[in-house]
Amino acid sequence: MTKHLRAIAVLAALVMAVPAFVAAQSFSGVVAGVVKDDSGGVLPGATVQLIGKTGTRDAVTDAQGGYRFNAVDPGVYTVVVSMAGFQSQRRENLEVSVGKQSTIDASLKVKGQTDSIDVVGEAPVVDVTSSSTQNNLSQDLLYNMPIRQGNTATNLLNFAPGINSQSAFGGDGSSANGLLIDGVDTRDPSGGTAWTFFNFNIVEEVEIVGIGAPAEYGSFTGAVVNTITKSGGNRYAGLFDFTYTKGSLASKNVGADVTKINPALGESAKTNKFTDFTTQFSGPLIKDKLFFFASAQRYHLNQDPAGPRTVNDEVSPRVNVKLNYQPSASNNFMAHVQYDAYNIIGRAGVSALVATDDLTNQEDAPEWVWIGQWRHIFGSKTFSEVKYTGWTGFYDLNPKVKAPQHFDGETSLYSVSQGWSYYADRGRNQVNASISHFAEGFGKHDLKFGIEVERSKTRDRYSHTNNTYYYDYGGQPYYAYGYGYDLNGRNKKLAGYAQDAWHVNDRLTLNLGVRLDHVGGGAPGGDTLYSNTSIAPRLGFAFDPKGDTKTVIKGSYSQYYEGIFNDIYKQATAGYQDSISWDMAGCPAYGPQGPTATYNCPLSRRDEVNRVKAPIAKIDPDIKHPRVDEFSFGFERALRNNVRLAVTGIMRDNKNFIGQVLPSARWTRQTGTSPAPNGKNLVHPATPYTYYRWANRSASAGDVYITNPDGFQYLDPAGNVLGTVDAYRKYKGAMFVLTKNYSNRWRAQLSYVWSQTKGTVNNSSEGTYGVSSFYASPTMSLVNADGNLSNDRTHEIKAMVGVQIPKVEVAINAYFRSISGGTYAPYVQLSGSTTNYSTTGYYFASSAGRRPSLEPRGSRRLDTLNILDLRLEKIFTIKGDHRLSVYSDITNALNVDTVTSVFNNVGGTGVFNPPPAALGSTTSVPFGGPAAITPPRQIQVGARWSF
Amino acid sequence: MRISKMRGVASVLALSIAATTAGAAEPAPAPTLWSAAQEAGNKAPISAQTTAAPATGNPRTDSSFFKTTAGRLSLGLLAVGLGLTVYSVGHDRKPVKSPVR
Repeated sequence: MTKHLRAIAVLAALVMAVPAFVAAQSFSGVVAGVVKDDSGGVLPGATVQLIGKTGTRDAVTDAQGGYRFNAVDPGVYTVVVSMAGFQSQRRENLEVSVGKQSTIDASLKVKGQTDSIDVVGEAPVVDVTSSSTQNNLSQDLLYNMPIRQGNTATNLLNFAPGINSQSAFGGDGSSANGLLIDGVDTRDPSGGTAWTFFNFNIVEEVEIVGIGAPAEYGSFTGAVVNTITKSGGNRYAGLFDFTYTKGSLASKNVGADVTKINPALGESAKTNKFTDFTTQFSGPLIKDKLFFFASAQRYHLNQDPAGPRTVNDEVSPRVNVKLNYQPSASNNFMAHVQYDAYNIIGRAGVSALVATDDLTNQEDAPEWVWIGQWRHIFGSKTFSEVKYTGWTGFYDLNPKVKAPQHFDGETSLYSVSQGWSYYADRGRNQVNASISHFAEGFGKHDLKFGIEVERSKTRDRYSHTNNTYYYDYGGQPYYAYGYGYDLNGRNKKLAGYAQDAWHVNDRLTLNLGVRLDHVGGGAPGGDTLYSNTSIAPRLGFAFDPKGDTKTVIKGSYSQYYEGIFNDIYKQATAGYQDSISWDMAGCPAYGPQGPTATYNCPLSRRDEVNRVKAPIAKIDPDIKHPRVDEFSFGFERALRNNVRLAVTGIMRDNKNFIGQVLPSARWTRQTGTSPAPNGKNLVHPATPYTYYRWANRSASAGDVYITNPDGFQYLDPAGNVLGTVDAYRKYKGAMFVLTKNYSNRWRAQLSYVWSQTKGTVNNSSEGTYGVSSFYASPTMSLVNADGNLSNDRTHEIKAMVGVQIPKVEVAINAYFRSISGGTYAPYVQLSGSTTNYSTTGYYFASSAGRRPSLEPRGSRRLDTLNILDLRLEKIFTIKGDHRLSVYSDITNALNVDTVTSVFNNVGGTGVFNPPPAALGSTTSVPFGGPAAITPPRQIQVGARWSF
Repeated sequence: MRISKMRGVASVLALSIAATTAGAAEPAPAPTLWSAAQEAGNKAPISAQTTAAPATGNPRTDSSFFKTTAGRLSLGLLAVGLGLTVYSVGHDRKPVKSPVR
């Protein structure tokens, strides 16, 4: 409570310190400059016009010849500078990007024979006032590059240097990235993963923020995808796009060497059919006042996944409607609504490679997303934004076969049905307000203050079908389990920030900021279970050594805190059902065909041998919220002709991981030796290993504590320390990016990143927080836990190159990446009786807690992935500015067959054999055998008309 | 449903072909986007929508645009696309209602 009051007090002081209220992340840029005569004297009183798609804004230069347009929406503009007695100057095709200042200086000549001249200047490619490193994906890039894979904001991340498999600069790949669409936080408030799907064609610009991010960006420990959607303007504009492919346009890339080891990969994943159309139209309803944008899409993807599953069919209709209203030059209102309905059949309900069609579910996931925004411009120096955003939706997973699941302990394979259903209900409401002000005094200041309020809800319901999950052995009933939950959460966030880009002089800018977040959560109507207040400084500098706005040396120190998620405190809420175990010895045997959907063993014939009530976890009152500390240092240099070179060094240190521990548990250290090679499915040499057996399970299994496990000590029965958790994840990298903006019919972005990500907390699945049992047992957290993390990609090369060939009007766009493979290490799977660690004794146990690693984490590495995607586009010129084209996307043009995942259980992993092998026959894939392979070359064709 | 989808695809293709003809029939002598880009020293990228400043007298800035072939075609395509999407919302989705819901 004291913390809460302190947070409110600090926040109130922050808000009261600003002259008025205002908002959140950047959605606009700035155009500013100085007007001089040709002798270098400043020209006060000159008129500057900024002409864009929604009209014209005017400014008059001040006593120093300066002018400034703030709150400029991203897009292409024309700047006209004029003054009596001088030739006016016109500068066209000025691209304004989100969060950046475009400096357009003008030098006017005394009026001669001509009244005006056109200036074709180079767009500024280096922002010499910002210490952050941004990677914007312009509409131009999104439109032209073959980057359609997937349809969520997280897919956009992977095109940025230093980000792979959604792991940004070593961060967690599944839940550490902020995903904003017009300011709407679209992450799942339960676990932080991507929730909302959207149409790439509605995107105006994507700003990827992650290094030296200003204080207005919060609630992430990886990167932020700040997506701005299109708006209408004074000209009617349209886009009609249709894309198609089918199975015969896919190649095969799985060789006999692969299928010999893993027959389930015999048919690589391929797209049977893909149709995606977008119709989009925008324009004025009232000239200069009211504009509309409308988009409709139907996305249909039918795939034959790798493994025995034959169908995975996804349909996603999406509609977007957006209105912009500017009743006066100083007021702008925006309302945007999206409806989409993600519907899928054939979603794997068990591990994808062992999922048959019967082991899948059907999913329905409709949602509404909304944004309402008011922007008020107080003058050339001040503007405010108030935004109300939110979304609501659910997803419902229903098993295809309405029967309990069967798992055979002898083959480790599932059958009959996925056997469970799940319903996730979500909603989020946010109010963001900010004020931006340009001030002069002790240099110049770009100030911004803002507050953010969030309320989000989660509800998760899960149940085994008929509350039964059959654990068979040798093809006959053995045990069965009952399990389910109905969990509710309410998240709260109150945040405030203040930031200043302090232009000390023409060469030096200090980027100073601080962000305060107060987050909390609990069950609806109940007490707050988790509460935390964090203060995150953001300090940076940008120095222009020559004062020519072409070079900047920059550096920053930043702290980023995660958002608030239900997963953090979920185990401290009620709603878990009893976990029941039945001995099935009294049940009828299966027939010769094995278990079937109609099989049922009534409760009267089962022997309940165990019932575990879910413990209500306690939360450490001094728990700290997950964060990452970051240092960056680099420089950028504008080379000739729109070319920019950026070199950045980055160090990140993740802290305050959250997990569950068992303070009163006692463990005994044990040793074992993994099985020796047998010439078949056992290939790893016999290796001694250490594991820990739970010595006092019944006395301590209810003592669940959610805390920062770093420093937690595991004890033996005598109270001696067996080991101490060292929870860390550190990243260091050097990033080289060479960018050439579009000119002379070509564009390119080339990048190379060297990096190293080490630690004891993985960045692919173990995450930064949550309810995993990674720390419950020392078997995983003390045994070979330290090393290279899964998404440790030592070398990363990404190249995006686009060339438009004259005369034939054919565009060739290529995206190539060469990325070091992910890491892995062998483990041995122990039984619950060996470790005394199983769900029959500990409610939150999982089989992962019985897997001591045989080698240090990430001791082995997959092959480097080299992928080339191409887009070829033939453009037909039509009168007017209409563009009609046909195009073809060729993904994995080289048809490489790189293994992207392997099985790392030294005991082998069972997979089903595909036909013509007998139904249900299996193969045990040895350690290191391929589990997934790059999808083969696929050709898509499309046509589009835009104007 | 298959017939509806095919009809939609056929409509889009037919209208796209019509767009070529219709565009060629437009009397406006405005430069093409490509030639404009060339004239501007190839500084301007080709984007999905032309967002530069409006040219004076361009019929795309007032309601007379809808009297042009391109305007009618745009509205027609938008109606087709929106109709198919709305149809998809109502008909493509398989009903799902899990026991825990």
